[in-house]
Amino acid sequence: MRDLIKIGLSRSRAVFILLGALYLAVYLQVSVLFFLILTSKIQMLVISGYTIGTLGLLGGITGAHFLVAGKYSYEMGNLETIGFPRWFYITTYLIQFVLVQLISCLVGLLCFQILYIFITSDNVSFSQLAIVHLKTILTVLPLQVISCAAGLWYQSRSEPFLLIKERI
Amino acid sequence: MIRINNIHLYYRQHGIALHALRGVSLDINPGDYIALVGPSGSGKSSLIAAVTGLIFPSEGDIFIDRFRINRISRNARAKIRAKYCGIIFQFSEMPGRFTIRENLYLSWLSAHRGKDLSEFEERLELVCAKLDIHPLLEIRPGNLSGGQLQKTAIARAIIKDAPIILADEPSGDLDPDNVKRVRNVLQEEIENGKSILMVTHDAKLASDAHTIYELRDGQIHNVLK
Ligand SMILES: Nc1ncnc2c1ncn2[C@@H]1O[C@H](COP(=O)(O)OP(=O)(O)OP(=O)(O)O)[C@@H](O)[C@H]1O
Ligand SMILES: [Mg+2]
Repeated sequence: MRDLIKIGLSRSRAVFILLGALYLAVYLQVSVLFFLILTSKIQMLVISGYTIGTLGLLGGITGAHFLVAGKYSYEMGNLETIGFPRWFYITTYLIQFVLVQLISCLVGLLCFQILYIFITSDNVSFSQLAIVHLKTILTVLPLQVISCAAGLWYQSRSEPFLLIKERI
Repeated sequence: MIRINNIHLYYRQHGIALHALRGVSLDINPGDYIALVGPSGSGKSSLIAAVTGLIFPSEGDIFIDRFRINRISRNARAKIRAKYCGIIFQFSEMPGRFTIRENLYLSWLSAHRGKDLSEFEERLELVCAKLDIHPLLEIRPGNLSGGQLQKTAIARAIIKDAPIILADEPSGDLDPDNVKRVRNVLQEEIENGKSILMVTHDAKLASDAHTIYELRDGQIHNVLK
């Protein structure tokens, strides 16, 4: 497993950069909107904007996950033919996705800190902000893991021989 | 080692079923070298896929060692493949993200979990020398020629040192020199007590086998040797 993760991470930079960028977009969006909530007077409006924006971005990320899963179905079939069960492959890739998301999230949090410190002189503490971010992560992360796992599982329904032949 | 007992296999597409294997029975014992010949579309590749549990026969039984692979879960079938089978596909297949070395490593890893990397390096050295693929190790499969890819596919199957080798047209894209190499490699595997089930259209390669079966319309039509 460790080897697969290592090989996988070192060989799919483009995909991970894309996903990382998407996650970053989500966290930035969430941060900015949350910033508005903290400072705004018309809170209801901002909160609904926050909800809609986040849902839209989540949809986008889920779509990206399905694309990534599609790209991997052949690889999954191939590794299954040489003896790695599906769950093994799916688990290693979930671990990779989670790693990418956590890194993007940390970057997002940092950006928000900088934004916040430069724009306001409010007395919201770092831990307060961190808690909000943590909440977002805890909502988004399981959703992503589930959507990614479901995508990979869906792609691998056929027997491995047919998965491979599809590509020819 | 392998017992195939009256298997039937259907492909279903748009509601139409194609009867690809019609009651094939075959025994492969340790040390057996068996060649399968027959016209295109006679079901040779399908038979290899069914034997390795890559595709599901709707009737009949297949045993690898003492495991009835058409009765066990998909995960268990993968494990059996890891332990028992080195497979060479008709169309050489390798994930393009990994270099040849990594691909070979993954194949080796599937059968030798938890073993030391130096054992892999040793085995790699041996296999590379046999097939002359040293210069290809750091290249990705997508950048290889057909014949080079074929050779690395053969390397991937034998590097794990599995007791059964299933080869679908192993000499497909190869020049005469390389065919000779492959013949030697397969011969050596037999001498080391492995069993081989090989599909081939190459008369010379087939003549190396101890037994030649002819497959026609999904049935064993003839025993040629
Ligand atoms: N994925 C598939 N879906 C539907 N039918 C298939 C599929 N794969 C093979 N077949 C059919 O099954 C039959 C046997 O195919 P198979 O690939 O086993 O032939 P083969 O003996 O290996 O031929 P060749 O010598 O050309 O490789 C053919 O009639 C083919 O059309
Ligand atoms: Mg074939």
